[in-house]
Amino acid sequence: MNPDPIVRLQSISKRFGKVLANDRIDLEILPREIHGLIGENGAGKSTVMKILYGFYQASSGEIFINGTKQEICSPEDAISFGIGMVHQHFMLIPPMTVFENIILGQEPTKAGLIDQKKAKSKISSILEKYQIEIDLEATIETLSVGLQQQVEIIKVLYRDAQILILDEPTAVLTPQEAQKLFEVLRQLKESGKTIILITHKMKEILEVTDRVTVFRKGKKIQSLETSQSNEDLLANLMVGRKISKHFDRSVIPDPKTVLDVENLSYRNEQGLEILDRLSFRVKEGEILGIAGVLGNGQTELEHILSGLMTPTSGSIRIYHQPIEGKTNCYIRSHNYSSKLDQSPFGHVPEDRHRMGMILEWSAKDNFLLGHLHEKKFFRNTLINQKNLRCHAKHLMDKYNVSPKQENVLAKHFSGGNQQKMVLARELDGHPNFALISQPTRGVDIGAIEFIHQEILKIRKSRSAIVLISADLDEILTLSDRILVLSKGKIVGEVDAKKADRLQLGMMMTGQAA
Amino acid sequence: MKSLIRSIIALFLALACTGVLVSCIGESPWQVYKILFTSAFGSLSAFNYTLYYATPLIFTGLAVALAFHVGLFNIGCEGQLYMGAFATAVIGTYIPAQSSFPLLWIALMILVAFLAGALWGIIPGLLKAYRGSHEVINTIMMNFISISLLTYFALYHFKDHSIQAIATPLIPETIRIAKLSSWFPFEHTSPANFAFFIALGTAYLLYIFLWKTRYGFEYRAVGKSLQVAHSTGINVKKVLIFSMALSGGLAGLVALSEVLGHLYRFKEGFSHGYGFLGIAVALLGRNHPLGIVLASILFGALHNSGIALEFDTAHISRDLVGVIQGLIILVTTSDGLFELPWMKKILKNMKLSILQKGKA
Repeated sequence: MNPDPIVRLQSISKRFGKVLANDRIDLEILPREIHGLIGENGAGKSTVMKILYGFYQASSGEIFINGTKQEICSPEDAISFGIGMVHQHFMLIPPMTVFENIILGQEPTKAGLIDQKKAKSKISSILEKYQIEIDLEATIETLSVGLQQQVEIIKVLYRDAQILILDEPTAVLTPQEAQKLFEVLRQLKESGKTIILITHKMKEILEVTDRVTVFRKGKKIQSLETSQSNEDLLANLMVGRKISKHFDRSVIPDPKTVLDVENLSYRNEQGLEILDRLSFRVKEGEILGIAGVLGNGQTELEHILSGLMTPTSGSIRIYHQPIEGKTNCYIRSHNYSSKLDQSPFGHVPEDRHRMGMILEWSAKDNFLLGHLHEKKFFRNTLINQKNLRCHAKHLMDKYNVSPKQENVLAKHFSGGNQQKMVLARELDGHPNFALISQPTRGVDIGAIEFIHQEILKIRKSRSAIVLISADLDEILTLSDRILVLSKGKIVGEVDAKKADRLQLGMMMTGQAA
Repeated sequence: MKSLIRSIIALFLALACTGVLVSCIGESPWQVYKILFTSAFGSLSAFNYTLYYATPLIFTGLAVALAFHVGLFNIGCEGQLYMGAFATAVIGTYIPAQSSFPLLWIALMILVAFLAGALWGIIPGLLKAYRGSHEVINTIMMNFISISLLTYFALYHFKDHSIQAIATPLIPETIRIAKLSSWFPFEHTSPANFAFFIALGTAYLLYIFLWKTRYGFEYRAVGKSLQVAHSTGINVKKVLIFSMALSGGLAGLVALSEVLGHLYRFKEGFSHGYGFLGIAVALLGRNHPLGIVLASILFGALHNSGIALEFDTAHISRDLVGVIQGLIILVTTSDGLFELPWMKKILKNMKLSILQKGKA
């Protein structure tokens, strides 16, 4: 009954230095199906798709498209075979318009000039066919993340892709935007496209895919019909063990206030009110969740609390000592309390690639970042390589980073393992104040569980934690209290025990509850 | 190792292109190669001149490389080395002619050369850190200011009237750096001096600084990612300012080989574009101190053989050397060249043969 596969991967292996990212992967993608790829961090699902898209070349193995063997050496090759990819990190030029971004690199020309008419008619026929509504003349930076993603999809369709690969597409979307995305995907399937969906969210797999393939530790474990699977089965296949959902939320006795923010405002260079008179407090051993649709001031709040930006007005205190307007350097090295076993400040930034780690450096060197004021890593000013190596090994062991090789470059680790390293570096000292932003973005289930447990561990050791996340489930699982941020204002404060999704969703979109 | 092989391949490719060019002019390429080699390494005196030309290039190459590791492009080495040279030449004339501690005075002069260069480097650094203005523009502008201003001072305020050239008076014996000929069997008049060894020492120190110390770590972190450095508590402004000062200081050390070691005075036009050649040297040396030392000797050799080339051939001027230098840079910086399939094959074969030799 099964038709011939449109894509067949045969015994694909990929090695990065010592790391075997893909181990003899066999995979068949059938035409007109939505095929889900699911697996833990570093399971190799993204890598194998990047091989199919020509980003990487396989160390060994063969690729068959429509039954014929093909060499895919570059994304251009992949595009010529009708394969398109929508990346987790968008490849759009923010100040250019939607139209310009779509045709970029594939501009139809007439006498050396861009044939706008031809391009536009092609794009509008795509928009019509899949019932996507978007203003072609809007600049990318004015669009919401969800719309930007649709631009990426249109870009791929404009290049006549028959096979679309989507890498963690919902990681940055609100629940509503994700629903809209799934509708588009179903439309695409109806009209004959084949879709490969890389995700770590089991709900999405069950909701939208026809078949699913589970990866674990670089190997393909199993392909199965989605209709014959369920959450428990997938989780077991992915992790190879049961996932614990037990969280230790002991009550912290006699908590003092650590972070005290009062009337914090921030106006940007254009004079827009990005943050408007925020006031909140966080106690020892308390997790304050900050919920909100992305782009409502979370990034600015994060930058101000970590000393990367100066607020326009208002005060921030850690144990009664003002830090507003101080540099990140100061905040990290100042002693706020007499507790010697706690580091002053830990910061897990929203974007680990841009702000968290240096990808071209080894894991070991990345562990030294942010700890440059600690004497144990230096002999006079010379770096004490032995101590640093021990420290790196210890942290990689403790935080379950794989591969456990401190000399491997950071870029060769999977997203989840990179995130574990950032977390290890920033939170291992049980900071007085921990600022954690989007800790599990682009990270999958096994690692999410681990990261959540670690955050709860530092809660137990009396850290005051501000958790900024676009993932409502995450906020609901971890927080003690939840603030909802909308258009730079606190529109609601909810006790996490009494909070419910719908109510929070309403607040997030600015509708009064 | 990989980059060393690449640089060597680049050298040979550039020489091959030069050969073609020379044939077009109507000279024999082999003849030219021979002249190039013998006039740079063929005799003791030739080698001496090669070392002499290499010395300032090591300093400026290191200066450019240091800035580059911090993500800055210091094009202002020329102006910075003028500052270093002028300061040592002028302050040097006030040093007593007789002293029982000559090394102390020389150390002081090294400090002067460094600080003068650093002063000229820190200005673009400050502008970059506090006003965000681009260091490339500012360092270029600082070159013009420094060269013109110092020529003016040399002509109107500090001129040695006993000679025609625009130059300052001679510095006393106390602070002169010895010639290599006093230890090695070079001719007495040959210009290479012990500043060469100071340059080698500086290269080693810079290596330690960049890769083994806390500050070097901070510098490289800023160079790799300003945002990561910022968000992990590195004082980025401080790094930008001091790295430019340090880079300028290294360029200022050119004064050691030129003023303290050879000319014994500041002379208008004493630098043969060392500041700009330093950029080429840093590129060819791939910003590694050892690579820079090797690249400097190569460029010194080329510079040296240019004069011979002009004398010994009918149709070729020393500008050909500039062509070769340019070609080398062109090939080294074309990283894509080494990704070409045939190039990969050659590299692979070479690696195999190296391995086999190692086993035998």
